Amino acid sequence: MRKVWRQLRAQPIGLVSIFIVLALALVGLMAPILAPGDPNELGQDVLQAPGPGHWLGTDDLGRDVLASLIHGIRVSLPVGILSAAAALLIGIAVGAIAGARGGWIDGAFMRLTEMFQVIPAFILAAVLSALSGPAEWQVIAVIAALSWPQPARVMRGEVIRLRQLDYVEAVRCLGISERRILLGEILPNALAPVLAVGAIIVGTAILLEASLAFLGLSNPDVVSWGRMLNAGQRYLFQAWWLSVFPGLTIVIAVLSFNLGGDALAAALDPTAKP
Amino acid sequence: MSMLRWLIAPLALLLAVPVHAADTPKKGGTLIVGNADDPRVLSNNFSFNIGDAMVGCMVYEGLLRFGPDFKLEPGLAKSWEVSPDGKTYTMHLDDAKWEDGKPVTSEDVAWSLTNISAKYGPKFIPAGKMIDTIDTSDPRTVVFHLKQPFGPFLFSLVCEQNAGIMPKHVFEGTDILKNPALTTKPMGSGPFRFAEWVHGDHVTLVRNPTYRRPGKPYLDKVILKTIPDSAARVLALQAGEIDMIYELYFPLSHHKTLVNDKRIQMKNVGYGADDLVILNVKNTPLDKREVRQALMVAIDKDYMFKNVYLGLGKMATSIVDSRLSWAHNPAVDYTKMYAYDPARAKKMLDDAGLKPGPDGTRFTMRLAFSANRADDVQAAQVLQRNWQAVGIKVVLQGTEGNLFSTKVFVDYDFDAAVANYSTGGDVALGVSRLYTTDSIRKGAVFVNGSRYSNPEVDALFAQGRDGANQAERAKAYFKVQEVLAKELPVLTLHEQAQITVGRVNARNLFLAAHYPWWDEIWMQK
Amino acid sequence: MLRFLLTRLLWAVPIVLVIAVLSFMLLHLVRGDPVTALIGDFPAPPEYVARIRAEFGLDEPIMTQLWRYLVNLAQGNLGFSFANRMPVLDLILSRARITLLLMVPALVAASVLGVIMGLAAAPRAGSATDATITGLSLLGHSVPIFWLAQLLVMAFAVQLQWMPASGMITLRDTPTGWQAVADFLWHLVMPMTCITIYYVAVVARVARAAVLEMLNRDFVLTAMAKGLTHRRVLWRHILPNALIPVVTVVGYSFGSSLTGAILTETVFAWPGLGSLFVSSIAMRDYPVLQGIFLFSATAVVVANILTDMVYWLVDPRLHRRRVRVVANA
Repeated sequence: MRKVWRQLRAQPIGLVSIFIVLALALVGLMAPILAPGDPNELGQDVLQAPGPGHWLGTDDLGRDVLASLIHGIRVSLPVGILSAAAALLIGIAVGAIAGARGGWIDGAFMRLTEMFQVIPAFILAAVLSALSGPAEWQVIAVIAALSWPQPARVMRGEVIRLRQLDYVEAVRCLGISERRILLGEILPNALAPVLAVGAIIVGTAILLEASLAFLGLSNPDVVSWGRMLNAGQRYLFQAWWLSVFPGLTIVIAVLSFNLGGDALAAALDPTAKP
Repeated sequence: MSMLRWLIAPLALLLAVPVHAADTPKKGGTLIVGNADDPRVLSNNFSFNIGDAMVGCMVYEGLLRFGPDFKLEPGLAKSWEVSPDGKTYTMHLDDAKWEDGKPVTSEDVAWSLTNISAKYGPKFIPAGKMIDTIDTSDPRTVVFHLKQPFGPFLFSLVCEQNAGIMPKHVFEGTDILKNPALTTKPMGSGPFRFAEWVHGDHVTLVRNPTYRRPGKPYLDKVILKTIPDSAARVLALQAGEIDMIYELYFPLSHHKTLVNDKRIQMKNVGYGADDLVILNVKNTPLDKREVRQALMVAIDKDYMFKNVYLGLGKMATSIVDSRLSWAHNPAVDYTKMYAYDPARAKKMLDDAGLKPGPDGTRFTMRLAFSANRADDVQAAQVLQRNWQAVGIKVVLQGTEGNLFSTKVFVDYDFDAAVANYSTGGDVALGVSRLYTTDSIRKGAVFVNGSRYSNPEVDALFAQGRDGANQAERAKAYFKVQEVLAKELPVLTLHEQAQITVGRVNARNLFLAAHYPWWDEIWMQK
Repeated sequence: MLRFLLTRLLWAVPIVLVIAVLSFMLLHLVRGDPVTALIGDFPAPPEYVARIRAEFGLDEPIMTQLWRYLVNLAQGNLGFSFANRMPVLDLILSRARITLLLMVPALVAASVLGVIMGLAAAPRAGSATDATITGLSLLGHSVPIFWLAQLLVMAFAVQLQWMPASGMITLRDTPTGWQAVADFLWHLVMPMTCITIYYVAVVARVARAAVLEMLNRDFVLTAMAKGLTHRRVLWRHILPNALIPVVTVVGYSFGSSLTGAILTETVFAWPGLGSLFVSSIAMRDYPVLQGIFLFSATAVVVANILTDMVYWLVDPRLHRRRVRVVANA
């Protein structure tokens, strides 16, 4: 554990990114307490520029932008994290089995991943939204269904590599079952690169949700960052803060996940020198 | 004599327009219009689509056309007479030719209106139903015999009302919807000819050298450019890449940006469209009119006007848009009858027997709206706030466009629904469909979604439609406004501003109401 | 080689089949009368509606409809777009060409830029420079493309007036000849930049990893020990080997680049597949949406096969090595 911490400290940017992600999550959890006011509160200060009272300005119905962004965390972040979590669960399971069993199961696995990977996620999500109405679970399902091959391939690669290591051979000679070996020795060590892929999926999910909202294909009852960007277009010239701040928030969140994931993977990598 | 008559119409039009000495229209130039999507067919007789209306009414013409304030001006018909009983209309055709040189005759008019407009044109169908026979014995005269008087008949003979005249010899005997004249080779008699259509990008039209009005059109070319993203459209106008955005495609949130821009001109032109809330009168407690009235009183109309509607247009005072001035009853005024007063609204609800429960809620209602229309989304949010302030729990149900239509007009799965209705230019064409019993048609969109049914109201609307002249019709319409002002099955909130914008060097852009007179526009350098 | 190609093509068939079935199912998600899914709100008299119903067999059982759909697909019939009044396949192909005009230069630029960044970052791995380069490229990958596009238009088209705000060519007084080419390129710059910024990260990451691996290889160290200059080593050995994974990654990200193109086209009114997609959603032209889904997934399959072939051709060493490994196992 200490080694991991030391590794992380060696990558300041990565460390900062992880902090940002954790901070975002925390702020999101505590949104009702932290946010300056109710984001649904319609006010009389309409289209106010950023300043004291409304640090990031207000929108065309007097709603505080900062409050909306903070509450938006509770929409955008869970979509991202749940999508990645689902993709990881499926991916780890399938990848581990394929890597461990080999043979025709492995071959079938490769074909299966290709089948899922060729379908463009955004187009499928957009078509689903347009045809049967928008819903967050649809977005999560689409991303999970089409992204699991990524962690699966990494997992499979790691399992194949790790199985052949000497110390695993040694454990095998002791008579411990394959499954025990898989779960006990291989899985924990394979986690690092898989987590990095997971972080990237979170970023992709957040951007996908924003893109759907941009086209008006997201759930209109829910204020997500993407929806704020979509609404901000109407006042592109008059109220730049309605577009700039949600956009920046998305950039910071996605970038932090990407950089943080990389840093975490590098830190968890057992082959790295202490 | 006929020579003089031939000159009177264009002359009168020219004189009707104030013309500066220095501003003589010059021939030449290209007008580029920015639309949200491509036309679907190259004729305006099949839909409500704006692109269709533009192309269709440049290539084809109607018997009449809209002048300033929707006064009817000559089109293909240079003059006309109406019989005193309002059942016979005699139209005298101008000397116009199709692109292949053949003359436009009364046969074309009769055939086109009966087989195309009356069958496929949603705006012309009501008029089409009223036609009994059409006399085409004289090739330059068309006589319509109606089954009964129909007030908006002349109004319906305009190209924009799906009544562009199309050539019989091109369409007769063919499968109309698959005829290439609709998609690649239209042939009209209008000021412009179709030149090319790059799907998804633009449609190009060029001057028709054999157009019946000499010296017109001034423009060499008109290009309809498709720019789906509304912000991009406004940006293109500012950059000078397009010269005009029609009202429906101009997002009003950009009004403030452009209103002080010296390079931009704008005008509020349109025959009226209204933002309103349809109430499902078959559900309790909305079946009680006191409750519906209370809902109206609880709405902060000033706030909505300022923030949702950006101070543009005006708040509605009755079911009939004030732009239909002859039918608008000034004695009915919602802003006075139902002035914003939450305390009064609460009392009205108490009196109706809807006292607040232990948690303060009197009853729950579902508010549906179309999620793609930013105005509707905002209106719904404000309504929710206003109604919750008087103890009504409001559940927002925003859905995508066509799912909204299904929800409201097929499944009737709503309590209140935010919607926008065009007036159609006449009470009988647009407004009445919200309130009459025969407009309750499951599955048809933008009709009587509230399912309100009142024989007195039906009778009044029928009188208004069948009245022999405008004064007669107005009498019935004035009465029905008084009745419905108390019944309120629909809360008419706001008269939409229909602002068309253009660059200042596109001259004569706003000569006519609703759609420009394309042949009169000229580009100043 | 032929055997390889055949195997790949054979495997592509069931994949495309699954995609076809999936796209068929999509259309049946539309609520209400399936006829509206095919005609939209185009006003049609009852006889016409009845004819459509018969033509598409809408009253038949689902499996029959599916079979009919697959048979049509095999004949290249993707349906008819009522909004555009032309067969869906022709519509999609004509627009796809225009999207490629945008995507190909963008991906080439992204590749070049990414390789340069990878070459700059790898030798300095672990340093601040490396972190900055990687960070910058990742930054480009974290930005919502349409947001970036709008900001660019506001800055360069409206404020500075250096670039056009929209479209593929100038419509007023359209230039001809060489000026037309220049005009087109001028319109291409901004939309292309958006897509390039997004994909540089993908290429840079792969290029950096490839170059890093190369730098540690024995033969490179040997070459350097023998006295070959840095630059020769770079051009002769490192670059060609780094290009391989770059090409493969670009090929495999064809699917996501299509997404990027869709979003960019909307902001710039670029009349390609993206604009078609968005306008078809607005006009409820469901056969087109279905067709675009099918087309894009199939295009990705084709891109994958082509990339595999390129990979196979360009690096026969890998193939030989694979054979040697198998022999030794």
